[in-house]
Amino acid sequence: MRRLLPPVALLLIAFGVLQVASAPPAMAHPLGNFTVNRYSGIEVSGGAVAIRYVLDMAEIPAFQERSAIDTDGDEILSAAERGFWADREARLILSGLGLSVDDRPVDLSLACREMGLRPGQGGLSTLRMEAVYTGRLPAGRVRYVDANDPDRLGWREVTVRAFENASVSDSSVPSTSTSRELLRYPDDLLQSPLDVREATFSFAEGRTSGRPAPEPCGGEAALAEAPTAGGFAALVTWKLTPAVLLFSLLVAFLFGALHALGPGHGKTIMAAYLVGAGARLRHAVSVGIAVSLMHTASVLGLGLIALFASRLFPAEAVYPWLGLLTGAVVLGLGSFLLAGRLRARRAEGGARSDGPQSHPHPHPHPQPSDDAVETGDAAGGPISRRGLTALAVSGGLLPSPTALVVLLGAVALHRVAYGLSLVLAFSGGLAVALIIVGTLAVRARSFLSRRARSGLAPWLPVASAGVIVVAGTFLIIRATLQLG
Amino acid sequence: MRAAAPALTRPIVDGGSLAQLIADLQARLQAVPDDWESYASLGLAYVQQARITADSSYYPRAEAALERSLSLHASDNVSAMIGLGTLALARHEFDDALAWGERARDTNATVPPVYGVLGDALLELGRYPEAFEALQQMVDLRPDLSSYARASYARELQGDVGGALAIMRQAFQTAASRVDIAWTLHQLGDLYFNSGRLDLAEQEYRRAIAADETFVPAKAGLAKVLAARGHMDAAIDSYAEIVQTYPLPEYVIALADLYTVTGRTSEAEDQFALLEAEETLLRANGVNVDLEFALFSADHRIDLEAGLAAAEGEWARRKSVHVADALAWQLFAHGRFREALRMSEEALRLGTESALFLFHRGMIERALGNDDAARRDLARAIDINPHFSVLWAKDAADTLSGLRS
Repeated sequence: MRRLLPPVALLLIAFGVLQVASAPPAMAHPLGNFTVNRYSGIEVSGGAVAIRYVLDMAEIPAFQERSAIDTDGDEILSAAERGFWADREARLILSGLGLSVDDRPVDLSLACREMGLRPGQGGLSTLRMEAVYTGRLPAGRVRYVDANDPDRLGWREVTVRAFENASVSDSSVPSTSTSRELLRYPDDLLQSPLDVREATFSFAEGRTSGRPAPEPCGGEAALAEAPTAGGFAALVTWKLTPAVLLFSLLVAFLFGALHALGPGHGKTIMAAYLVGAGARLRHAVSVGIAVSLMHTASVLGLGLIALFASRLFPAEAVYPWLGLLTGAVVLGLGSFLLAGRLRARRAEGGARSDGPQSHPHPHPHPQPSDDAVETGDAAGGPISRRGLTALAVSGGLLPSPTALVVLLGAVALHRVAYGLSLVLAFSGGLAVALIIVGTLAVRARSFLSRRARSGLAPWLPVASAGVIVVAGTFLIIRATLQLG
Repeated sequence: MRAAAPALTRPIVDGGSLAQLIADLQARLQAVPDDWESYASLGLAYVQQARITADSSYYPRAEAALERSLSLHASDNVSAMIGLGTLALARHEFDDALAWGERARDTNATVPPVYGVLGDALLELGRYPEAFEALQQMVDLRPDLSSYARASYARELQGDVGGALAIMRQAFQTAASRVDIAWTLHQLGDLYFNSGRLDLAEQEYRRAIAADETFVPAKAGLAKVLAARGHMDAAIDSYAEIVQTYPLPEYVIALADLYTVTGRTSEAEDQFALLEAEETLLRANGVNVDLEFALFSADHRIDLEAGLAAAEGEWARRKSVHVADALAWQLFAHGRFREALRMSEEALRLGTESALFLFHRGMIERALGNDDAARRDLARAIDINPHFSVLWAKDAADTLSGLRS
């Protein structure tokens, strides 16, 4: 048996590399090495339902899954392989879920999923997957059944919670999880595993102003993008021919562009900055290129960390910190701009009220400066180097998880050059999309300036700086929540 | 692997479902936290849970519950002593089990399960005369399922398969709960299978499933019958399904063996790796698996050094016929045929009608050039059960026809 150690040891190393460094030292799975545990958190709000599904596999079932995860059989569970497995498993789970209102089935679709390995007993790992399924939910008597893996031993739990504009009554299950969503099982000699596989409750759209429902998929960094990760990440496993190469680079380019248009990629900040700074087209181009360079560097950096130092800095732990840093830089940029532009506004306003003897200020500079570019920036002039850097950071520091998965997948398949090309193409798409957005912003600004010459236009730099401040604050809060 | 730990796999808790019993005990203890008797029963139920599910992490819980019981009530707490003895048996700590059994007997010599713990420990330690005496006392005290099942095993060890079958049928008469009925039917099935009667074995396994459709050992029994009849793919499907839900080492080994003989090497290696992981976990939870490992290692010629060391270590601790057989097979694998033969004689010292033991001795004798003895043993093995092993049955037949020509 022990002669089999080399592949197993390799596998354990692979598990180890992917482990979360802050996890506790090897503990037996609290519910036993053989269990597969399942939790469904049903969240209703308005006419919508989201089911937070958690799958927690103890050491042995996690070990049994490893050959299903390790599709290329190299005993290493690469990020791409884990992604494919999670996609397939999430869809498999969905097929075992039943949700109906007054006996009419409700369609659910996979919104996102995430999986990770944690150290378990005997040098083995346990596996945890989270998936979110969403659907439309009409009012009525709701019945939910989880028919997955009916024979396997384990903890099974279902909860139902109502959020904004929804009310739930007559529920057969509680609203909070005894196991904290399978994170903390009651450590009690006298507690047997829960075995709840279904729930019934009455649902009505209420006028109550309850807490708003949480975003189904939380922060983008926390959960990989399920619908796209499969398609794009799959590229790295394709057999390479010139046509495939060209095609896949094109697809990577398009995904990059799509990524730029997705939520929270400094798009808003960039647009606000460009509008406020009275930038020209070439500025939009340089900002787009800077962001995409930063993004490339960031993907490569995080990729290196994931490959060589993930024990110290696991990628999933680095993400919120990068988010925090991004937020801080954006907030700093916004505050600096806001302060400068407010001063400039006051100076301009004061100059006007001083009467005819006061000469019109040729430049909106509040005071002389040794750095013309810098002061021009603060007052709404053309773009500064520091501003450019801040924009690049805000848009590119937080790398797309998809791009990272592609890079790590390519490395695992020994296709480093190919992976790099895909990441570069991805960044190219990102740059082009951002340039287009920037151009639109600049055009919109000149349009606004012409229309409202005296009224709105002078306040535009201040307002845009305010937008940046708000965006920075938002990013910081979001990252703090992820860290907390 | 019935022969390795026979009476041990029988449900200790008669009647009702184990989960229900555990839930009742937990509720009782939440209301009455110092009820030492319930803690002892809970501990025993956890041992049982671990055995049914092969989830060794229940052992530490069982231990905690039993120790709690003992600390609440130290003197004359026979239940906790029996529980700790049973736990020690389950962890293959047979000296400890014997000590707990003796302590329990000294405390109260009229409780039948005391002799169950004593008898099981003595059997595993290879102290057969004392063991048979303890089991007889148990039957005399209370002729029930627990005592009959052990008496049946004692007959089987001594080569009296007919007697073993008859007593097991008596045990079946006393079985009341569904799981007990299924368990005794499954034991009957194994007795039939081990004596080569496939149709009867299949019939008993099917009856067991009819009694309790969740009774996995009987499903494994049917898979074993499929393999014996040469329906390898169907047998593989059955075992794969069982392993997907209940990956007990014995089922994993059976599946790995089937993959091996059908040439599906990489799938076999997956199962070997799983077995390795389970071995690690069993050891981490304080379970000694040296005997099982030694036999597996010799069968698959994997890690023979460690396998021999494990077998020798086990033989130093206890002199049971199963340990003797595993050590003999290991010594054979190392080419140490004379020592192997001596151990093989030890393995067959009770006259057990085991096709596997006889096959091992026959192969050793052939290696030593004792062709007549080899021919006799191999013929006897095939006569007892031509399907005794997925891995070796064909080798046995081929070697025998080679010796006859």
